[in-house]
Amino acid sequence: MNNEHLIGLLCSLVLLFPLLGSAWNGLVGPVAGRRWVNLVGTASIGAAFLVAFTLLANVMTAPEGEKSLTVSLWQWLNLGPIVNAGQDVAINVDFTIDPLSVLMLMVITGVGFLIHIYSVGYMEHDEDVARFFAYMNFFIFSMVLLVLSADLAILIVGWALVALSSYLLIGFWYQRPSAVVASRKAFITQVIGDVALVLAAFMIVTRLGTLSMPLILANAGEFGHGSAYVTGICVLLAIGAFAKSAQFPLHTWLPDAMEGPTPVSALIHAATMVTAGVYLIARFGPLFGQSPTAQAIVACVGMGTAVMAGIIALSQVDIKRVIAYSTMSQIGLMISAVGLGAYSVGMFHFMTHAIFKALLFMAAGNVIHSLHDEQDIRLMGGLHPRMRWTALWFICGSFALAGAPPFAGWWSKEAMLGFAANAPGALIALFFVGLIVNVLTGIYAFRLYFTVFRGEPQTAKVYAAHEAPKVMLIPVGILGCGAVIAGLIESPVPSFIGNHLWQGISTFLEPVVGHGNEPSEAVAWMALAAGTICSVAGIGAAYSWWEKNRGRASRIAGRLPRLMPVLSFHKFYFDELYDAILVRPVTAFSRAMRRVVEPRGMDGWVRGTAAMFDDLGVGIAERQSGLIRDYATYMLAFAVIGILFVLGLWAK
Amino acid sequence: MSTSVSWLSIVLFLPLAGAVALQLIPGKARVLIQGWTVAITLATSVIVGLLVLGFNNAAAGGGPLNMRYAENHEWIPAIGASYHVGMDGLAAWMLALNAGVFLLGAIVVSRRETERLRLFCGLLLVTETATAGVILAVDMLMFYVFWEAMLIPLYFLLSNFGEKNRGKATLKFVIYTVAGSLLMLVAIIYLKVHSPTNTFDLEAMLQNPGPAEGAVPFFGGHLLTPQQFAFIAFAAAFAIKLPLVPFHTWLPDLYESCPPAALMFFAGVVSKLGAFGFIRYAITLFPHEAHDYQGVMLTLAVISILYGALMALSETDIKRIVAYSSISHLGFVALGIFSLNSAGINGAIIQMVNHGIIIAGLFLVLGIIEQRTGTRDRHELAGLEKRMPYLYFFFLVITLAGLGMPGMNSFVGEFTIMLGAFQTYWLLAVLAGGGVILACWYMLRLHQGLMHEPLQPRAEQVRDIGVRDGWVLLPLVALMIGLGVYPHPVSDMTRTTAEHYVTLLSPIPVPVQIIQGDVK
Repeated sequence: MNNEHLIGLLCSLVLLFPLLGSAWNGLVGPVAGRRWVNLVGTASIGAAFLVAFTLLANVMTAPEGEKSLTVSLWQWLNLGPIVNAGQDVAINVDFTIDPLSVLMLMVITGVGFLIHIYSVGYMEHDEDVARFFAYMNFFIFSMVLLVLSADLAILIVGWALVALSSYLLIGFWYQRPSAVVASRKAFITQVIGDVALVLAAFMIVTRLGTLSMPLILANAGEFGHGSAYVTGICVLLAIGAFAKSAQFPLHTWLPDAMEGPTPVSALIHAATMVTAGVYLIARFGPLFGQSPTAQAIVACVGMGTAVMAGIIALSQVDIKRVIAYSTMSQIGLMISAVGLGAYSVGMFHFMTHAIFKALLFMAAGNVIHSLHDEQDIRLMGGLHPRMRWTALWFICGSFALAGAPPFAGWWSKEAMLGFAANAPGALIALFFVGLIVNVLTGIYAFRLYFTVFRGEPQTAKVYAAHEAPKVMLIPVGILGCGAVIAGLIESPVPSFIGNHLWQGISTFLEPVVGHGNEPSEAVAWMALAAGTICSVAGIGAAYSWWEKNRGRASRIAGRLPRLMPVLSFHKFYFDELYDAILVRPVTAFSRAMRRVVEPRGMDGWVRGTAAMFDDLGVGIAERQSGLIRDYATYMLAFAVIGILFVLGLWAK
Repeated sequence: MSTSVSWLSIVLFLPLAGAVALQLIPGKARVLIQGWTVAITLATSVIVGLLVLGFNNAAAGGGPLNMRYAENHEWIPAIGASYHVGMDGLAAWMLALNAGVFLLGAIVVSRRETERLRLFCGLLLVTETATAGVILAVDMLMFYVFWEAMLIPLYFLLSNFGEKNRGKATLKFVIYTVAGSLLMLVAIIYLKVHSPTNTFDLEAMLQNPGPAEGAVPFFGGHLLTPQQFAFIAFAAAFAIKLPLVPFHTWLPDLYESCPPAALMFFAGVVSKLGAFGFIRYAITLFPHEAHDYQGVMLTLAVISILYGALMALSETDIKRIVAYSSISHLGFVALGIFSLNSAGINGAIIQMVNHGIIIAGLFLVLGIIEQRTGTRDRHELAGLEKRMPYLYFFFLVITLAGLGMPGMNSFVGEFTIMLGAFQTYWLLAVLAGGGVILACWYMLRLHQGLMHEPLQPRAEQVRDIGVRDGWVLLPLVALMIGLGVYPHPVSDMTRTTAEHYVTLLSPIPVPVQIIQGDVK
């Protein structure tokens, strides 16, 4: 068996394990009992993780220049000849194994596996656990399909299937009307992104005559550097990425998605699916490299979303929504980084973020679980002595999120700032905005920690709180350790081996995404220092406002212009805005069409025609009056017409 | 399969013979009637299946349409009409859909407590012969006869077994479609008179097109050319049958009052015949006119997509929601056809079959829900997932197929259609994309409205589907997934056909015969 067959087999296995797990849980699970469901649900992902690890080893040991391998499974569709391409366009089910896809694969299956184990504890009291694991496994399958596919059409299939799993899991508790609405909102927003991707695929295929991604990327120069056409493609791809990664203006679905069970929020709406947009832009890096305009748009939208979400997170009171907005903000940073061409750093932050954000969600899940579904942080407080382990891991996650040295997030965030500081022209502003985001992150992350875990208990529920069971604590602990040390992978520490400041991830990803516009060491150190100061300042502010001197935060908020806290608390009124300019007009228009246009206009002309013949018949019948003088008149009139007609013909 | 046996004639007349034989069975022997109907439709399906499988190995006819299994006999030589049947890639898939949907219809009806079962089954079989005739005919008079004959059993089905308002709905449908097809008859006669061979044979006509004539002078100005009139007449007949907005108002009324078992094949096949006619007749006989009126037809198609979707969004009767969604989906088919390129036509053929499968499944599910809860009002139904988890699963898959989920069959069709439209004019694909987003909205509104949120009191006692319903739904759902995951074998066959039709479409210079002075 040669290497290509082996890789093909491994790709099939990493897809099949979750898929079979999903099928088994969905079909047999309900009768097989909880133990079997838990076992199959977690073991299938564990097996996929082992296969992913084999693939990683395979890529690591592959010689230079052969790190990227594409295997073909079967032909999906032949689109026939395309007008400008002059050749048949075949869509194949192809998979790419390269450092980028393997990195994604490791995070998806690794973090996914831990979250699946955690779910066993979290969903212990739910009747529908089989359906839950069926959906969760299906999500892993879809996500793996997304990152492995080497054909844009197959990527779109994976892209849509993760949206489907997300829809199913947000609406998992389908008897809650709010969950039903949230799931539909998420799905429709995703479909907008899908359509944008499909249109981008059309633009590509009509020029290049292929949808195979290695070929597209190799021929990215065909469109012409900086041409409007390539900018159009990149903007459409970016719209797809924005919908998936909850970036402005397609961001409103993510906070509502917190209606789903907490493991779902950890897996789909923090660690993996929502970062697919980052992956997409990194994957299509060579194409984005052709369009500086599109790159600038992506970088600015990402940073803008990061600030906006950071401001909103300051005032939210639902523990999961605060973390959701922090996710949106952090993904904004990643999107901004990949927009600046810093692909390896963006992917590095994706990795550390997946670890510490899944950790935060799962720790929050422990809190929610022990408080019997209480999510309002104003009703918490004083949980630290009651849930020591959870509090410990939560604070690790918060430090990593805020970017305090030497936690995982510190390395990746400050590296991104280094690239922003090196940005060309006016884009340097992104660096300063990034510093603001650092401050905001420090504040909201520790506001959450201090409000939930420190101070006095605010309700009786808190006194009855207890630590989570081991099955939920151990995965959190593993991720907690990761949040502390995972950054070292890219730190100067291993530079004893190579002689370079940035190591690990960037060297690993270099064959796929290149170096980007790397900052000089001086700029990098400067950005690192500035970023660290801002992060620490944010943490310090949170300490003084919510821990040392409780109540000071509200006094400060009171001194701000009234509009700012209101906008923050109401999430800048985006939900209301979209409701007013999109949802209501379309439904009202649709109703008006049903009440007026359909019966009067569309059916009206049909019934009108029928009525006309009716009237004609009646009219003719009435002319038959039986009076001789009437008949004589008709005869005369028609005779005149007939004679004129004949004369007319004769004249010709 | 050897060509010495007239397989297509067997496919065509077996159901009719079955219907005649059915009358010998006593009306009280319900089981026998059911069994016989299922047996006949099953036998037809098996033969059709074998014919489709053997399609690539069958000897090609060599005519302009490259018909396989062709049979050509004299019928009424005095007027140049012949009995000419044949099967190309388009007809193959339509016939497969036809056989499958009637088989399902026969199975489903046997479960329902229908009065006068023998009449129903007889009419069902007669309809199958009529629709098969429309698909297989290569002679235009024969096509026309079957096209009109289709209305007769449908009329009796609707007027005998329909639900409330059936009288008005049926009358509207019959008059509407007859008005369209009478126009077509005039055009057919015109074509025959002007064809050099003086026959109704489609292949002969395509081989030797009649001379193109100049525009008709009219009081100093010029009206359309006779060819253009003829194209419009054909297009009107097919646009009504498809239907395209604004010729659609018969459809929601009709679907609403149609008996559920008849709806399976009504929505599954009959409405696709309009699209079939567009491809087989309108664009092949009139390549120039198809290009002339491409803009008009594409506009109507896009309007149908968006209009149907918007209507489905605010409708409350679940059957009418699906009826309007059907208008939207068939707008996609029309969009593909009038893109006039191979991707568009290929997508249209794929989507015709896919939509037949999906709509049959949707009406089946809604029929079950209506039967078990006794209502069709969306507002009176909610939370059925709790009571019907298995139905929920099937309904979910069908819903996803209906909204064009990637990985399901309809995505293959819609993707290809939109690619075809994009090559014609990019904005069309963008507008169609708007239709996809709206489809997602109204399908989820329908699905979630019925399945999610707290259970309504009237659904407290509802039972889940049984094994028999499951066996009917399972093949449909399997096809939806299977054709989405591995569409290559099907699309390869339809693609060849589509490319063939595109070659017929390519504008061939036709000498203009000038009458009554120069009109150019």
